[in-house]
Amino acid sequence: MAPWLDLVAINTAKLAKVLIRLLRLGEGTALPGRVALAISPKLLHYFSRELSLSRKAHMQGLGARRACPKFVQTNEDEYNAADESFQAGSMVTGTNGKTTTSGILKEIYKAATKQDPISNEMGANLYYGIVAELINSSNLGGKLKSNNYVLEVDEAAFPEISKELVPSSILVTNLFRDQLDRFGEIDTTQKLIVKGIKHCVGSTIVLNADDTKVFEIKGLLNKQDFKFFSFRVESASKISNLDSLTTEQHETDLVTELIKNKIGSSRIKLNYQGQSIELELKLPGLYNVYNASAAAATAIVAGIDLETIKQGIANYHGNFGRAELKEFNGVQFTSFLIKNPTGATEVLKDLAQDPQAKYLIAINDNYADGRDVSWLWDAEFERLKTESTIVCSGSRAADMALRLKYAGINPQQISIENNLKKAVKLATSSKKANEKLYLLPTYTALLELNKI
Amino acid sequence: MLKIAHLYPKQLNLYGDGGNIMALSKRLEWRGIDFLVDQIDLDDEKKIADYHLFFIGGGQDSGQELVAFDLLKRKKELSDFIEAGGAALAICGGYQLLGKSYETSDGSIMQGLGILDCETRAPSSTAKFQDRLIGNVVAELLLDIEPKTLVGFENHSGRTYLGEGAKPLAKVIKGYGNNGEDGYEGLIYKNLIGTYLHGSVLPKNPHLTDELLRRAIAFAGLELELKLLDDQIETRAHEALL
Repeated sequence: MAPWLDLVAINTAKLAKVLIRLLRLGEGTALPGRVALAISPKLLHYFSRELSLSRKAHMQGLGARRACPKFVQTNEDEYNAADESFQAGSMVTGTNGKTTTSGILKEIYKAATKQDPISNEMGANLYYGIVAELINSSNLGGKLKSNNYVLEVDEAAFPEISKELVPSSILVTNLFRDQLDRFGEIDTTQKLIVKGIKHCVGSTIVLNADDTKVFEIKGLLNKQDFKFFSFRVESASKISNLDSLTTEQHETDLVTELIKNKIGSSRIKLNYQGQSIELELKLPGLYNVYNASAAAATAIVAGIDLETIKQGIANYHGNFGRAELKEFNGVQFTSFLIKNPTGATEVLKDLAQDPQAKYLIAINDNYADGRDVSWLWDAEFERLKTESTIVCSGSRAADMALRLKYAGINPQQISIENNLKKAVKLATSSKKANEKLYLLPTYTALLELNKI
Repeated sequence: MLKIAHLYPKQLNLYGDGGNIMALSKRLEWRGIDFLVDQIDLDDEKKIADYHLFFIGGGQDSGQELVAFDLLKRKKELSDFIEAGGAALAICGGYQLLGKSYETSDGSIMQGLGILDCETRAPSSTAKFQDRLIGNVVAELLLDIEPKTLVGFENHSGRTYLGEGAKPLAKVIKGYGNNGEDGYEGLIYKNLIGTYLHGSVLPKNPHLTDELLRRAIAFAGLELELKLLDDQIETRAHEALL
């Protein structure tokens, strides 16, 4: 039974969420978390205890392969042994690909357990958002729907969260130049992640060995305190604009081979300890090959076999803003969230292969987008054809248009319409029958579009 | 031919400063002016004296440390270039490195090139703003060019204080500028402009770009007019911040 204060917090937050939705004040993804924490500031600690208790019992069942987090005081009588043979709590952090990677990992865990793990799919990855998601996943008595979880965690919020909730595995996807105006620089982000990991003695750290800044993390930690698992991708091309791209090739536990790259999908092969499996990844670009590999590596750490991993990856169908299909005024758009130079360049590389492409690019500069639009100058808009028709929208539509002009796009083909609704109208009304519409919004522009 | 040098693009490559090279190049290309852009890397044998304009951007602390050492070896060369009237643009970290001294994140004071009469320090414990100075900037240019406004985005923890005789580039209307205290942004010395503005700064301030080009052309002794360009999109991006 949960302590009464935590129960009051959980139930008040649930009520708050209902009210928020009823009054149409928003999705209610983070505010209920704030409400709950105002009532019980240690609520995350309660959830952590719930999750860790079951994990501890599980690990004892496995012969206690892993050290139990220090702060967990177990009371065996309080706990009823879980009957699931699978136990994993994973946090996914890094600058890019957190949402997609978490989404794939969630599908793999689901394929392994036939049950949805707890996850924050809406991308609410700050402290309040994660607490809100755990409340969402618990019943009125404070019991969680699953002992397994996949949480994407914001790099800056990670140390605060891992102080109270210690996962069995932590995946660091990459450290790209993303939202630098928030943290200052990549080195600072790396420090935040290392700080967060240090709270998690006993966890397995999953690292992308192709990213120098990520791989360096291993050297910044006490070897005895953690287990490490690494992965890399073998492909002819490399992700451009990757600041910390390594030139050396590290020996890794998992090696993913990119066999073939097509518009919108890739054929890849996962190689682990002499076993391998080939699969079709129905997501565009090399960056998604990295996302799938990262998820597969974390799943291997959880003891899942390659066949189940393949099945999980196959079950994954896009995510919020990632290659999502949308319809406005009866016209279909394929949308790709863009928010930093590396991710945007990968999307542009892919779309440039479509000769019938027409674009609507919506750039906002709210806090969640990153307030500095300088990154537009690092993304390779030069890849687009010079005669592409492009509607620019959002609060920084003119900056986007200017970037396109300097990328060599014919200025006659560029239009500026700050208002998103009008921009959508403009793009759909001028669309020719053979053209295909691509929508490239920043985060808050996508939220706005979802309301149209 | 107008020759442009881009200093340490591999180490100093934060915040889209490559956009500044794009602006310089395109505005020459659109006017049919012959030019070249060379990259100057660590331990490079190329000489600054062979160019008419150089650009140096900002980087991470780690990148900046590598560059600082190499830059000190070029101290005389760079100083001679500026004293002779060569044109240059230094942004953020590059701006700090060209000053007399700067303080690193671990608190040690490092020697700068001393070409610009300014010093960069970490925020003092009594400073009004302790955090990084981040956000959009609008400033009034103290140069004789039109329009009078300068727009961009700043993101720096160092506070730069100008020496007594030093001339600021602009007066801050919105944002923090050099140090968040005295209300000024950037510095201009002869034909060298130092500023904290990213954005990228040159594309959306075409009047500043052309001013730099004009000074570089004069320094090169070339008889060239800068023809008017259609700057409608540039103007819209500039005005979006006003």
